[in-house]
Amino acid sequence: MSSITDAARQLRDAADLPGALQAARHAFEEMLAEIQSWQEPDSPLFTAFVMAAGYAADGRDAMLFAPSRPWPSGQPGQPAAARGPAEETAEQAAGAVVGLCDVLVSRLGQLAASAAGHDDREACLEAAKSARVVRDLLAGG
Amino acid sequence: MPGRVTFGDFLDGARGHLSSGASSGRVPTGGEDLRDGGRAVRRVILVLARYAQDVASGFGTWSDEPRRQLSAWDQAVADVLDELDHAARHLKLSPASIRTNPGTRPSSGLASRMDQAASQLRTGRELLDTHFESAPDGTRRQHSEWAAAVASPTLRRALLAEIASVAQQVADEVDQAVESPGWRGTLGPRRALNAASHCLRVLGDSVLTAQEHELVPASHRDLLYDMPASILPPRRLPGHEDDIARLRDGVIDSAQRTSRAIWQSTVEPASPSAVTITSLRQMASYAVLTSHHCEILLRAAADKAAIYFPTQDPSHAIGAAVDAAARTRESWLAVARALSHFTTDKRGEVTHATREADGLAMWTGRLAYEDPEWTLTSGPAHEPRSARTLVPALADIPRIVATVHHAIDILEPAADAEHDQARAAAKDGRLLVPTVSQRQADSTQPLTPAPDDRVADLLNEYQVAAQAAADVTAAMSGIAASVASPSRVLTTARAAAGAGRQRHTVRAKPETRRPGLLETSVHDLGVTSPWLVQRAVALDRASEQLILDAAAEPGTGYDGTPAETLGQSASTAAVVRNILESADPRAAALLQPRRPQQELPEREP
Repeated sequence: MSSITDAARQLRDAADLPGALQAARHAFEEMLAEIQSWQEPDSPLFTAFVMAAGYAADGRDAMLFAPSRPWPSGQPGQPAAARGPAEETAEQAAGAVVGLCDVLVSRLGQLAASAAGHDDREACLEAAKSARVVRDLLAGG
Repeated sequence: MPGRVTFGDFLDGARGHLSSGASSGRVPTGGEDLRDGGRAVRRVILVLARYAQDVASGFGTWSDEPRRQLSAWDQAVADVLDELDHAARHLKLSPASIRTNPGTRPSSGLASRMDQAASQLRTGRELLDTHFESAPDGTRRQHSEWAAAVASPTLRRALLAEIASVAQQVADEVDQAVESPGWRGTLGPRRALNAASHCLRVLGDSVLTAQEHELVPASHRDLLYDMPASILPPRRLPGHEDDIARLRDGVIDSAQRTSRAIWQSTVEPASPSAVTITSLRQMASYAVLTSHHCEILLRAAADKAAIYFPTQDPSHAIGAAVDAAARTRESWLAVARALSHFTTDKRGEVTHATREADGLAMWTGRLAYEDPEWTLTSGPAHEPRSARTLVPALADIPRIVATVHHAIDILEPAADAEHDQARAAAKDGRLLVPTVSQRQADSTQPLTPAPDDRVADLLNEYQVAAQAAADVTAAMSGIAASVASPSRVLTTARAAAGAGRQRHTVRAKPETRRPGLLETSVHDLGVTSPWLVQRAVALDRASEQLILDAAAEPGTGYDGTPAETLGQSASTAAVVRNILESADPRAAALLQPRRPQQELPEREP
């Protein structure tokens, strides 16, 4: 199971709000790492990956500011730089990230509807918006 | 500058009116009033005097300061001011004299041409004046990115030389008018015109003397002629029907708008509290893509140049510029990746400069790719345009070079401006990183101000990007000169402005770094892909970070063994060596034995 698939599974399985927020943050981190791993200028996906990286980081940031997210996370500070690609080709990576974005959009939508705190709801909506943009960029516009 | 009115248009217009009499050999029809002509000549002289005052005062942006030694050009400025003043005084005819010359008819030749020339010169001066503005306290200040060049000593000399040249033309006209038998007028106006003409010729001599001491380069005269007004072309997006020529013009217009926005952000920096990670990230992404698109365009130009100039410098120079553009792209990509580790408390808003850079990335991409509906969000798979489409003829090489030159020219100032914004935000404690451990979490917040070493790494990436952009800009300047591209005025403007200003940031030499284990291995394998090398560097850094974190962790078994002997293998020794050579303050901890935990004294019974 790739780290992208694993991140999607963790997000689906998260039982409570803090766990789901942490899983969403982790999902964005994994997505960002994968996207950055495939930013090759010769690839037809280069522009899409360059644009998508910023939105993935924006989504991660939204989760960082969610009040109910548990911290410290214990995650390393620079995960994106520390690992290579999880998928075998740029196209597979794009497909995996699009799949993860679908899960994020769905799960964050649920969280935004059910979270009690305003700031948590706003954070989920903002992150879901970023995930939608990443999905659209990598799925072909 | 596509379709933009320039100072040269008005100067040429004035010259055209001034030469339509004397040079054409047209004999005055007679009966015209010499005093009408005299008054019109005076109006031209007054405009020229205002130009001379602009030259003397740097367009009002600086006051006179005592100088130890007057240069030939300083002397020329003083002489021109004096002679124009004298000429104007000679021509200040008393209103009474008008009534003493009955029977004449208004001048339709000399006066008319002088008035039209004066009008053109006034408009030209207004054009130059658009690059300056009055501050609330009444002082004059720069209003555009061109202003520093306009007010530079070299451009002012070029302007003074043009003033003198126009004055000679006026003198020629006046002399012919005075000597022509058909003109009517009393002795007074005729003598006044003679005296004024003499003054105009004297000031020309003074400027000639200055030119003999230090010639105004032709490139500076060209820049003066090509100087546009500060008013920018309107922002627009590429249309589906835009052909290559319109797309090229669109890139240049967009580059000018971006250049202005960056310049404004530099002279009036936003408050650190206004800096957002969103804006910093987007600017970096747009710079990556603009560099990438320029590389594609230059590749096409290189293909064609190899055909047209198979053994000449331009072909090799364009090929080298392709590589330089690729390095710029990679360095901006490193900035974008570095920024992904940070955030700011305020997010979402983007600066004016970033919005304009978005437009430039869009325009350069539309020109680089075949798809007429291409956008930054179009998604994967788009074919670059062929060299045959982009550069169909030899004459198109200077055009595509000018287009790329304008786009590339914004990347260095962008890196400097963004560097300063990031530094200001960090200094203000607003560049944040997640709090990852209780050890780091002195505060009770989930995000904490970024540590100095990580901020330094980010700022270093900006400096590397600025240097790479400076290199590719220099390459484009050389190409523009060799293929006679109209964009060579950018080089002259930069040189002229640079002579009179100091860089607002001092570029530190990028941190020298010994390659890590993986990077060395990748190089040993003969891998040259920047992407793979970058990944190896990232993994090496992550290894170093892991060892630093582990060494600092309470309860580790580290006993202060000298760092060089920490690893039994050469591989770990290399990692430790790099840590010790880094600027990380925690590296020192590796050399110092941890003090054994102090034992509590035994309680006395």
